[in-house]
Amino acid sequence: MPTNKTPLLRVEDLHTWFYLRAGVLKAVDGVTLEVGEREAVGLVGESGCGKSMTAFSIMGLVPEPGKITGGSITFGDQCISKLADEEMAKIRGQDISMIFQDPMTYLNPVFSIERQVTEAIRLHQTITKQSAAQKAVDLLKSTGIPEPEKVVKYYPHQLSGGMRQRVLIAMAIACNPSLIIADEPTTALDVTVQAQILRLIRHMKDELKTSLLLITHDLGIVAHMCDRVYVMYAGRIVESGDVWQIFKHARHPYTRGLLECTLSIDEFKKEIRTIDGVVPNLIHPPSGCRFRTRCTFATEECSKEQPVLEQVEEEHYVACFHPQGSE
Amino acid sequence: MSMTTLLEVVDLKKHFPVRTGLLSELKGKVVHAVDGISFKLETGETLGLVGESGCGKTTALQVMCRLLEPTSGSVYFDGTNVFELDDKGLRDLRREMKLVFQDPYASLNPRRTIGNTLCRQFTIRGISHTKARQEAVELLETVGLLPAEDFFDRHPHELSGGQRQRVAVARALGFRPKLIFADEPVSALDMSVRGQILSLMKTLQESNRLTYVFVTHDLGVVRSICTKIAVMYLGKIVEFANVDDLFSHPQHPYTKAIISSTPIPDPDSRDREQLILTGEVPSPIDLPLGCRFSARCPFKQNDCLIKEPELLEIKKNHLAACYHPLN
Repeated sequence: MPTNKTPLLRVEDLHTWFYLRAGVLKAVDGVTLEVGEREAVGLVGESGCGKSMTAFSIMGLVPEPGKITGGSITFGDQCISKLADEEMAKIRGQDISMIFQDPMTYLNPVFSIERQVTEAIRLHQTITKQSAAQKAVDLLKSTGIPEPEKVVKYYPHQLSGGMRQRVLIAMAIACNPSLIIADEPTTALDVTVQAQILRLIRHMKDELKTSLLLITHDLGIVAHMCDRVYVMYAGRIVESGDVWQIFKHARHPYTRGLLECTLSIDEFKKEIRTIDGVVPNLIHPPSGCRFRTRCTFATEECSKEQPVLEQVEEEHYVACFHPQGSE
Repeated sequence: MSMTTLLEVVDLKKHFPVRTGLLSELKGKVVHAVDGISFKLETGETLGLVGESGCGKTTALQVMCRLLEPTSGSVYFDGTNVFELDDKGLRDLRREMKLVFQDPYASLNPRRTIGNTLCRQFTIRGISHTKARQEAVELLETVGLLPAEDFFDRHPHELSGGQRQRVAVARALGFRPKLIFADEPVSALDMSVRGQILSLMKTLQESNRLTYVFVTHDLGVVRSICTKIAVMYLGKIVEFANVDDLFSHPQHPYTKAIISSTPIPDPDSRDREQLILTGEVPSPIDLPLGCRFSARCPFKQNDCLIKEPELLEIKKNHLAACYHPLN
């Protein structure tokens, strides 16, 4: 598994802060994660926990007024967090590509699908327009779009949500990247289409031998797709481990709480469990452990010091002074 | 629980004419948003109206509480046909039948204080301000927004999503209604907060003998709160059953598909058999001749293409509209 080999992607102690008028919003505040070769890694958390900002930081796409203020991002043997924009542009789309939540926002409504897909190809490869156009058709076909010769001439508004997401996937795999980052790729889709897209992403990952960093709030999707999981809360990783460890033997109270309050179709829960309270404000986060304000096990120690990730089992790390379930 | 029918819907239809240019091929066509739905609901039950986007579930809800006028059909609430009521009758009905919307950011007026929002339904019906205030404070206490006096003077922007949705629920409880329609009441909320709202609604149901109609696309939510489910596809109910029967023995292939497409938050379920549909929901403008699901159905046979199947009792209290139920 990952740690004994050199990982494909290593994010170390990443800090991405936003300088707002109201103060400094610490969206990502010390995130360390790794994605191994051909591994599928999940990054889960609730909205506002910084999971998307982690992805944007890796892609070098942190929006204003945000800035990477600390830490490093290593891809292969290259440190990419301090690359110049034009250097990063070569990697983006070529070696690392991204699939976004809402395909309509990332497809340009005034250009045909053909133009947008061939652009993605020709940006990184020197091939003629004709062969790029042919490749676009092949790519669309490989993502399961029916009648790709016809669809390439369409504009985004003529396609359904599922089809648009397939186009985005086609663009993401156009240059055989070694890492695909998928940020909530199916959240905007209906459940039957979601199942199709998840199956497609998994198939593409195996076919192209790429790694996958899947960002989602849906624990069901993580359980279904990922080898390893990072759980994020208020800008920090609180627990990581392989998917079985996380789902069967979670140790952090937050992870355990999330799993308990997830509503599964698999079982009827007489009592709906919840995590009390709300996600803290990231401009003035609570001192010490950020989950302590909602944690039933919090003690004085938790407010004094910030817990760091510590190994509890092979590959299983928890940032908590009172890890649960240690029988 | 006595078995009194509170809500009865009989062959309800709502068609929208397609607004288009003079020469368009769609001229004169209609969208069959709700195309003949019928069901009965007893006091104290919770019906989940589920289906993918565009299946007509929200339209159905809006017609049932007469926010939209139907094309044809009737809705009986406590024995009265909702569509035959005059303005006065409708105003009285609105006390007994309330609504909770999906987005608590949009459903609360940002300029009014929470107290003002809650008092309004009382004051416009001629109740004194002092009495209205008393009622409003009581409502805030019922939904757990404590101290109520504190919340009374706040504005929506000072509240979190979960708190806002509590306000929306509080508003719906004024005048002690019998029936509450809830349109995706938790889908805008984070999963840790979702449970709080659902368990609140469940508790309120028990203490006030409320009946709910929940419109949702989330089968996990349905499983945890509903007693009956109606699965809609392209404007029609394709299956109607008790929640346990529906999840354990879905009869309609579409129901089976949405259940098996929903990811289960347990890595053990990875290799479960899945029925993944091809294609997406077709347009509700030009419906196929026979069964409207036939275009995506993996089990279709010739008879499915000729005449539309009716919603019939396949087992006791289990209805499905399919010629070849799965059993």
